Amino acid sequence: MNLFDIMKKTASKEVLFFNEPSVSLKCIIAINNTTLGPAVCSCKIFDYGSFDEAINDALNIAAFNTYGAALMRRDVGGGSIIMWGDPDVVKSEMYFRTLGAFINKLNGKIYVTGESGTSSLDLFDIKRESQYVLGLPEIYGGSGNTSVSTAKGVLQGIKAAVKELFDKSDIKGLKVAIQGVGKVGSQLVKVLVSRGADVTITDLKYDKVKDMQDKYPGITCVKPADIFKVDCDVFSPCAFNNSITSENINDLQCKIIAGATNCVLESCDLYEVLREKGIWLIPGFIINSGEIIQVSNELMGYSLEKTETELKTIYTKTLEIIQESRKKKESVSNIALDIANNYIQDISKIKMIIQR
Amino acid sequence: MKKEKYLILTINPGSTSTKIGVYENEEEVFKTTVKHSNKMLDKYQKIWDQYSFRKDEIVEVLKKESINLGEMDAIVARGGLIRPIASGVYDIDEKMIEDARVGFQGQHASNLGCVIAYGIAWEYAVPSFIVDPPAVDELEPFARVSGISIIERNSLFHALNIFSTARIFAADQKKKFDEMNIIVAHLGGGITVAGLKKGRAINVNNGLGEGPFSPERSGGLPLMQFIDLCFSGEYTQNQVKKIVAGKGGLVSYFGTNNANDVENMIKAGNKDFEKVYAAMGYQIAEEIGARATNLKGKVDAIVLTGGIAYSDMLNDWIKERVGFIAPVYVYPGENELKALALGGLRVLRGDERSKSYSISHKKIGVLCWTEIDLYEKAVSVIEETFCESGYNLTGPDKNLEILYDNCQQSEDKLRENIESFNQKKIDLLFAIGTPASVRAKHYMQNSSIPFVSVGIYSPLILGVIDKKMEDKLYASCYSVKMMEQLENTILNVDPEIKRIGVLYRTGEIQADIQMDEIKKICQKKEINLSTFDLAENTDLNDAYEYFKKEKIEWLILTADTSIANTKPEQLQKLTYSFPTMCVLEKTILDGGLIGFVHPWEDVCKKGAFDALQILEGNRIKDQTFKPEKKKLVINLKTAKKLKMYTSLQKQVPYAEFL
Repeated sequence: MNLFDIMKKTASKEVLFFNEPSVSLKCIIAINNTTLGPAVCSCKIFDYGSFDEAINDALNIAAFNTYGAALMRRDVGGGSIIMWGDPDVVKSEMYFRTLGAFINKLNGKIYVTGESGTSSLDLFDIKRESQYVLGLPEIYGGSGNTSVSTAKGVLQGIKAAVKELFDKSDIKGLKVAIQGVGKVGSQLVKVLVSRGADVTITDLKYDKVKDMQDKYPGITCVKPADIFKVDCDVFSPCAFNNSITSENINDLQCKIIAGATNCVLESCDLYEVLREKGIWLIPGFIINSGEIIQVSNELMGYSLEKTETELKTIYTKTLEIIQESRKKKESVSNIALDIANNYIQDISKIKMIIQR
Repeated sequence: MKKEKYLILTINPGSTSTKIGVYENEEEVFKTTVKHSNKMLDKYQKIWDQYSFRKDEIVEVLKKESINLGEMDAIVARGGLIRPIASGVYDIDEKMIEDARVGFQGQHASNLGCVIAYGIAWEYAVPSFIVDPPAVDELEPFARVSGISIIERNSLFHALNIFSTARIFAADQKKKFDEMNIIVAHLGGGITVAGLKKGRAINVNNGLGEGPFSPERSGGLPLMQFIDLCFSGEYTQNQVKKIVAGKGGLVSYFGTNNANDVENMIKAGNKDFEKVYAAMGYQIAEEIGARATNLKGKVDAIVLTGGIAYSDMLNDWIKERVGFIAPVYVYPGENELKALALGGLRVLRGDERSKSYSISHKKIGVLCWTEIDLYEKAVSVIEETFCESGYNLTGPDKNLEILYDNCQQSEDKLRENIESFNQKKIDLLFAIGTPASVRAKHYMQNSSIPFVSVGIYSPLILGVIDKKMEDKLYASCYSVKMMEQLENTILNVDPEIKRIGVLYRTGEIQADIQMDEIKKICQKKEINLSTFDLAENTDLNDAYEYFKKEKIEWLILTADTSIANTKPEQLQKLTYSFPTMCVLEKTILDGGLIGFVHPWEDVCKKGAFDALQILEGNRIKDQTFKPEKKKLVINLKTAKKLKMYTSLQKQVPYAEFL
């Protein structure tokens, strides 16, 4: 697909490429929208199979960050940084410092935060060359691990869905199957187990599964391919995109899909299958905005208390979107996108008035 | 799909090292001991926490050797001190890992075996197994009684080497391991002697405190003196345990656990060494004798194995005392890695089924139309298959309930039985025989309970299987087409035949279908047909008179329950008068002449395997099954009576005579 076609499809404004062979850095920076404020770019390292795959991921993540920020009414825009390479091979201090120097040249148009493949130490290396880094550990002056806020946000989203669809306020005994126990998934396990949920997990890496099992002996572990068949109330995808395919969709036993992953369906046609099966899909960009809430607070003066309070808005917003979806008989995703786009347009109008 | 070559990674964790091996089928490709630094191991409070460290070191070593883990067909590890289980190969699962983590029977480095194998296998999506862990416990009930009510004897022994050696021995003898009674003595740092009755270790000395003393263990001790020692105040509990295992046996007498050193001292003329070492042989022989009594003297062989079975001196002392029981064979040394690989290989090749460690309680409803030998045989095959896979039908560990109901040839009774099964919340319905299968299918159509059926007639022809039920219905049946039967029997022996008689009973669906087929064949081959319907007249004397009058040359006994149920002496008036082709093996044995049949036991076994798979949450690929094996069965007695012996021999040279 033509690059401009993909940009049009995702309503993206800018794409930057940066290549520094001396440190094996190949980087794509996608800036989706800066109407609400500087673009918060989650920084992901992944060894993509093709350029198309990489660019699509960059633009999609950027778009979802825009929608998440708009839904939660944050003063930040959406962007993404994709670093194309195998994290086990390419990562080094110089790699991240080079990226930091490049980001610094953009003069605050974008802010970097961590995503899959990056650690807090990597972010610290970026910080050594650029001030535009968010979500650093507290000891380095940041607001700390953002995956905790993301997981708490996902929990709020699950609670809202359970309230609206099962009329239950408590998640004790709720059966949740979590796909992926990396940064966010492991935090989600922690918050769910502490609230008495009945949790089943999986991950492509067994060591992560074992780590969870050692920490929480009551949880159930299943092999990656078996997670779809788990008899559960909520299926929570917290791993990679497009994990629900036409081959496994009929195995799903849940009533709700709600996790941190933005694009869980392999293709849009599968929405219809979910609808027929009576499964509600709460898209990731609605409920994974805990990170955006935390880092946008960091820009305005961070406090843990304020962030914790604001994370609860994910509950009210999700509830509102599901209710609207039921009322209008529209998909949850479409309702959420309408709300987000309307908000961006409203702010855009205000900014134009000020400029006049 | 079966492969010619299988690659297997084997893992055997010890206290400070992990032995690993890679095997291509039976052949060792690579073997090494990964030594872990004590400094690193000491960092971990619990053995269990060494998982990532050990696994990463193993993977690193294999990478350096350019061994691609993605090419492995299975990862097999030595199981640890998990809960007591029957011998065999087990799939590693979450329950096993949980038991290894908590140390169900204690903490030991071998507990890491299953989790390391599982972790590697997880990432490469290949199966992982353990083989005959030390926790194997198959003691017969008498062997569990210790002598005081608060202590029960348990089984802790060198199961991996003992079972592996016994299997190799049986193969060398060209016999089946599970058909022999073998006493195997593992002679190593610890000594255990197991009595294997048809493949099960029905009694064994616990390696930690029973049986003969060994290079470093005390074996059984005089109790009163030992109690005094325990309470003398001179030893802590751990020190006493060390006396029993670690500092007992030869170490206690000579300060060494090296049997070679002891032998050298004996050869140098040291009588004290000779006395103690010979006493060890004496006690080993004594233990072998004990196992012989456990086996009621029915012992096919005694096998000596383990590291010190290399000692001719020791072996000769033992042979001298136990040679009268059974022949003694020596298989010195032990190769646990190879034993693990062989276990995995048996499963990959389909020679053995891996067992499930986490079997939850299951209930099966078994339905028969009437009571006949064939159906009883099917029930016993189902029971055996489930027991072999680790289910228990009795005792405190009972986890399988088989609810058996006979419909007494009544449709109402069948409906009642199915309703009763539903109320009892069965996990699976198993219908035996065509009459029950066809009727049960009708009532099971709207049920979510999986349904397996076995029968001798094609489920597709009978309509037992249809599209609507393909997700929950599996029939393990075979179909003997009447044409195939006739061509291989009557038309083969008597190609010029002009008239055939058929004994059948209308109303039984499979009999009706068989009749239709016979009619078509006779029409095509221009053979005249005379039929006698047992639904109209059950008197076999009348049948005999009728067929005699009709001058039939051959008689066919169809497969239906009324004929299968008829007493042999009643049938024999017919079968000894006319050459009779039978669809069921049973009716041939009862006096019929000939049949081209599939083994009923194989059909039932496949059905039972399917049922197992379904209960374990797996999908069955093929809804129907036709056994590969067929046999031509001829009743020689009848053949002789009919004076057809010579002609049968000529016409059917490949016949399997009964």
